[in-house]
This record gives sequence, C-alpha cells and structure tokens, in this order.
Amino acid sequence: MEDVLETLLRLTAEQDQHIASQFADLPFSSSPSTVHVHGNTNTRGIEIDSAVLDKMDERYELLKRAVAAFSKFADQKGLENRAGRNHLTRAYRIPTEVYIQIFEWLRCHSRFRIKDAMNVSHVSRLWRDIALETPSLWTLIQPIRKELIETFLTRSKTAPLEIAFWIKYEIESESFVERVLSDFLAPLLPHISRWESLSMNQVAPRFLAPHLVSPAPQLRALTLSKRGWHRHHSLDIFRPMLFGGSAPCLRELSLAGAFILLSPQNLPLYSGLTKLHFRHVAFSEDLLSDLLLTLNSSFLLEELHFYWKFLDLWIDSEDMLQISSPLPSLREIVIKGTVAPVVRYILNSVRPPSSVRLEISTTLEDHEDVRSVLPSCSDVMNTLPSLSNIDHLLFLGTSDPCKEILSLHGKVGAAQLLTIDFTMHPDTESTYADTCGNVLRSIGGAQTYFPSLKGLTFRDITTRQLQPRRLTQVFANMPRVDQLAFRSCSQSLVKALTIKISQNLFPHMTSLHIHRSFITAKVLINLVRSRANVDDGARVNSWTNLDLGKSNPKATRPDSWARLDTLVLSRCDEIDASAVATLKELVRDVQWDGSRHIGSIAKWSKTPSARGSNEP
Amino acid sequence: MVNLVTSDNESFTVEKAVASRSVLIKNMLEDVGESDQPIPLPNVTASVLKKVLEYCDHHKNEPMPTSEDLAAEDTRKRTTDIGEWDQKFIQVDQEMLFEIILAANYLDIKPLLDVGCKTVANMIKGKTPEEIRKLFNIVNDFTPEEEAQIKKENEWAEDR
Repeated sequence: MEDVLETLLRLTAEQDQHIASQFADLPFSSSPSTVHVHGNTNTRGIEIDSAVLDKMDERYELLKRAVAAFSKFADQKGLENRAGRNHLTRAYRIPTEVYIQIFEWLRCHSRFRIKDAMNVSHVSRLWRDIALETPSLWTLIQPIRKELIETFLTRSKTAPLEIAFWIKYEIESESFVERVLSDFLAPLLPHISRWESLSMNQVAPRFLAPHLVSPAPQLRALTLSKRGWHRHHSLDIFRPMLFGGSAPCLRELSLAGAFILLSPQNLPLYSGLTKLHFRHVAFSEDLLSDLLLTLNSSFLLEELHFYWKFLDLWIDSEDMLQISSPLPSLREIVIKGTVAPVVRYILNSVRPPSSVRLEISTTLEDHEDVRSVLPSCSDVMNTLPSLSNIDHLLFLGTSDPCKEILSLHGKVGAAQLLTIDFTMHPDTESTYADTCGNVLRSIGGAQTYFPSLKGLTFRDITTRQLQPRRLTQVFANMPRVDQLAFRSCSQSLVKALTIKISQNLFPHMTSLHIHRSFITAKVLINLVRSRANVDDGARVNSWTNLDLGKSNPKATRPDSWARLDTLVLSRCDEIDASAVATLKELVRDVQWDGSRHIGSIAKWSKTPSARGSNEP
Repeated sequence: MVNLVTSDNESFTVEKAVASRSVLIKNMLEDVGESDQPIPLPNVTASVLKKVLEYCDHHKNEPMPTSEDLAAEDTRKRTTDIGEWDQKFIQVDQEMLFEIILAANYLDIKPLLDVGCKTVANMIKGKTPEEIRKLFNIVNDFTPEEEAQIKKENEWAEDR
C-alpha cells in the first residue's frame, strides 16, 4: 500500500514540475496554480498548449486516485488501530469462553429481548464474532421480520427455541391475524423438532391448530391464549390432534380462554405435566369432571392453577368425583374467582396431599360456611374450623364484586400455607359490611375466635364500608393480634380500631403500620399516647407544645396492655418532621419515609373540612 | 492450612476448606497430598486474591457444585438474580470486576465466575451498542461492509 502511494505521489510531483515549466514563460504567472484555465484564458487571448491541459487532466486523475488510495489505506489503518486499541482495554482481556458465558447469562435475564442479542453483536468485531458463536443468544423468536427470524434460526444453530407470538394491535381482522400467523410460523415449522417453548397469544385455535401437526420432541412449555377472552365468551377448543399427539417432553401447559380437547389423541399431552394453569377457561361441569378424571393419572403434576374472572357453576355435592388416589407430587393449588362448590369439587377430586400449598379465592353464599371450600379428605378440613393456625387476616375494601374482600392466611394442619380470599358474588345485593359479617360468621359462627391471629391488615376501606361496631365482638376474639396495618384507610377507621379503648380492641398491639393516610399529627400522637407509657414529664411537655387540648382520660394505656413498640409511617401527608420527632419520644422504633402523596395536598387543601378524614 | 503465593509475591495462609473452593487448588492439593509447600498463583495479584478469598471464606460451608449438578441444571430456570451478600461483594470498580472474573476463571471457582458474569450481563442488559462501548471503553471497529449489514439488521428489527 505504501509503495502505491509513494509512486502516485512521485508521479504527481513530476507532473507538477513539468506543468510548472510549461507555464514558466507565461507573462501573468510563474506557476500553474495561478493560471485561470477555465474561461479566462480565451478572453485574454492567451493560447495554451493542449498538451498542457491534457497533462493537467491527467494530473487531476492521478491525484484523485492517490486520494482514494490514501483514503482506503487510512481507513484500513484506522480499523487496525481501533482494533488494536480495543485489545488493550480491560474488557478485551476477558477470554472468549467467559464472554460466551456472559452472553448466555444475558439470555437468562428475566427481561431479555431480542434487541439485547442484536445490541451485543453490534458493539465491535470481537463482540460480534463471539455473539454469533453463542447459539443460545439467538433462540428467542418473536414477531419480527422474516429475514431476521431466518438470521436468528441460522445463528441459534441447533439450540432449543423459545417462540412467542402475539398480535400487536387489539383490533385486527381475523384474516389479518391468520396471514400474520402463517408468515410467522412458515420459517419456524421446519425447526419444530427444536421448539422448547411455544407461547401463542390472542390466536384462535382454528388458525393455529392446522400448523401444529408435526411432533415436537423437545417442547417443554406450551401457552395458548385466545384473543379477547371475556367472562361470557364461549370456550375455544383445540379439537384436532396437536403435534401428532407427540410432545413427550411437555411439562408446562397454560391455557387462557382456550382448551385442548381431552380426546384420546391429545391425552398424552396431559400425562407428563408438572404445571397446569387455566385462565378464564369457561368450564362446563362435564368438561371440568373430564379434566379432573384425566389428571388422575398425572403423577408428575406439581402445580394446578385455575383463575377465573368469575365462574358460577352449580355442582351438586352428590356429583362429587371420587378419584382413586391422591396426586403424589402436587404441592400447589390455586383456585381463584369462583363459587365455593367449584372449589370444593376440584379439591375433593384431586385429593391434595396434606403438605400442599392452597390459595383460594371464592364467594360464600349465606348458607355456606368456610367448610364449603375445603376438601373433606384432608386434615385441612379438620384443622381450619377452629382457625387455630390462621395468623393473618386482611380486610380489603372494594367496589368491584369480583375482588377479594377478606383474606385469611396461615399454616393449616400440615399445609405449608393456606390463603383463602373471599369475594362478593357479582350478583349479590348485600353490602360490603353484610358480606364481611356473613363470611366471618361462616368461619366460626357468633363465637368466631381467632386464637392464633397475629396480624390484621385493612386496605382501601372506610369506616362506613366496614362498620366496625358490628364486628366489635369478632375483633374482641382476636386476643393475640400484635400487628395492625392500615393501607389507604380513612383516619376515622384507624381511630375506631385503635383509640377507642372502651371497646378493648387489640390490647397486645405492639406494631402499627399506616400507609397512605390523611391521619393528622394530633390524632396520631393521641393514638400513640393511648398505647404508650406516658409517665415521662418531658413527653407530656412535647404534647402540650403541640396544643393537643385537654387530655383524654380514656387515652391512657391500661397496665395490662402491651406497649406500642414499632410505628411505620409512609406517604402520610399530614405528618411532618416535628410530629415524627414527638412520636420518636413515645415509641422506640419509628420509621417514617418523609414522603407525601404528590398532588394530594392541593386536592385536600381545597376542602379543609375534609382534612383528616376521607370519609364520604 | 494452605499457603498461597500471588504473582506479586505475597503469601496468604488460609483454611483448606476456603482454598478448596477453587477446583484448581483443590486438585493441586489432592495431587500433592499433605505438604507445606506454598502454591504459586502466577496469574493472580494479592489485591485480587484477597477479594477472591473473601468470597471463598463466606461460601466455604456451601456444597460444591458437582459436574452432574451442572449438567442437570435446567437452563430455563437460570436467572441473573444475585444473592444479597454476593451483590455487595461484587460492588467493585470495573477493573477489579474483570480481575475477579479472570481469577475465578483461572482458579476454576464456578459460582464466583457466575456472579461476575451475571454482573457484567446485568450491566449490558438494555444498553445500546454505543452505551456498551462507552461503558467498557471500546471503539467501533467495524468495516463499512459490516456496518451496512448491521444497519440492515436494525432496519429488520425496527420494521414491525
């Protein structure tokens, strides 16, 4: 390269000399650089030898070539220089095999996107070479251009593929969906033997089933969800045989608004499952019983989840299935958004082992009690009615009938954890307070007693909703509650359940959490005072300084009561640093985030009378 | 106890259980048998070995991953989450991070290598090529032809 440049430069220099000699005799200039060849020459009547012009053109061409050659040379040298520079950086000291591991870990990131793979391959030549030799980096296939899908398929070599498809826009014609799906699957189908996971979202079975006919020997996870499911929509069923009935590695099946028919050809798909999740699958009684009978042979099943927006299915207790043996591997059952008979039907059918983790969300009718939702075959049934192991109860205020209003948590029998959420029936005319009262009575009748309950949480609830006076006896039967938490609750509810000592509520409360509340400093300090030791004169002075008014004789902690030890405040708009300083004199551990709910001050300052209470 | 000598000639005397977190050292100890001979580590400096030994000491009571464990590991369940202690441990400057990775690779301490690799992976995640270059002081050394190919790939990705 240097030789070429040298020659070109030498030739150019020689030509310059030659041209200069040609121009030397001209009267107006001594060098070619000052000759105006174009235009001026003719008007001045100077005749120039055409050979000189040819030489100049030739010189120009030579210079052009020289510049081009030099530019190429400079680019090449620049690249070599940059590559050499990169090799001196710390990052380039990492050996290739470690880089491959880094890229493989990148692929394992929970929020990995295909763009991440592309980005690392666009950093530098070394990174690109390594990225292109890391097949796992290219195994995620999502709706992208066909050319890129083919690039990913090539780069992933023989690695198992994770395929996820969805329609980007909500409103699209069915023919559009069908065409896009076909385009997406066309390059992938020849690689079906290395599909490891397939997630097809918002796709109707009739479009998808014709594509899924070949065996998928490596398929471990299959997610199928119907487009635009709704509570009242009919169920979309995959009727034809999927994967030629052969997906021997299938372990995780998740169906949303769709169902794979339990035909003899498709039954093998269910036999080796470890996780089976249904979302919004509108089961009929027959379909549910067929499914549960099928699961009878699912010895590997570990997780069984049913989620519904709301499924109201009447199942007569006389129709209960009697499955021959319990499922030995089952460790978690989640049933949410249905009525008690369905919960009990499922639990009785699968006969969960005593160590199972149960999570249930159900409605209770007036005539039902908590036993309606528990399986009669397990020790859970025998243990729960006494509520001896329930350690946390949540009251959840809501205007949505399908949302939970009460939630019980605890260890029951040998069960690792039990959560039962209670929802209001969507068609009920009962109030929140009525339903809460009904559920609590159903748990233990008029004498409802929670001997082990340690924590009580109230969330998004007002005094008017809860009507705590009606529950005074229930709260009084929670003698061991030591932690109360209020999240987005009204000040009056906090007061009603903590300050009104005459009701003798929660005498063992040592920890109080208040989150996102308009409770005032005055009320809070009064509350804390009623729960703390007040003998110290210095503390009394602090309250006096805050102008708390007359001391309330009732707001004094009786000797037998526990002393409030921990106070956690977050997003309490009316609490400021001076109030916290006073609280810290009264309570050993005060945690305050110092934050206020942005926008709330302006909102509430317009209605000063409403301050301190968000009651309607 | 085991005596380790670094490339800058510093000696570290550590418990055998701590030193044996390194498969390289463990194999050397097994080959040599009971001996007071110091083990030279020509690829590791004292400052890096100190850090590596801190890791090994914290994890000395944990079971060593066997080759069977590694083979049976379900790659789909792998996560880039790092334990609380390990996270604090690996909060070092970039130079030390790469030195720890190199040392873990040389000494064959798989869990430490994983922590280092996960940390770098988490640093890369979500960043553009330019941001990655800036982070690691790398410059773009692609040829114009390669640049054209990259441009094309980006266009394909942006198309939908």
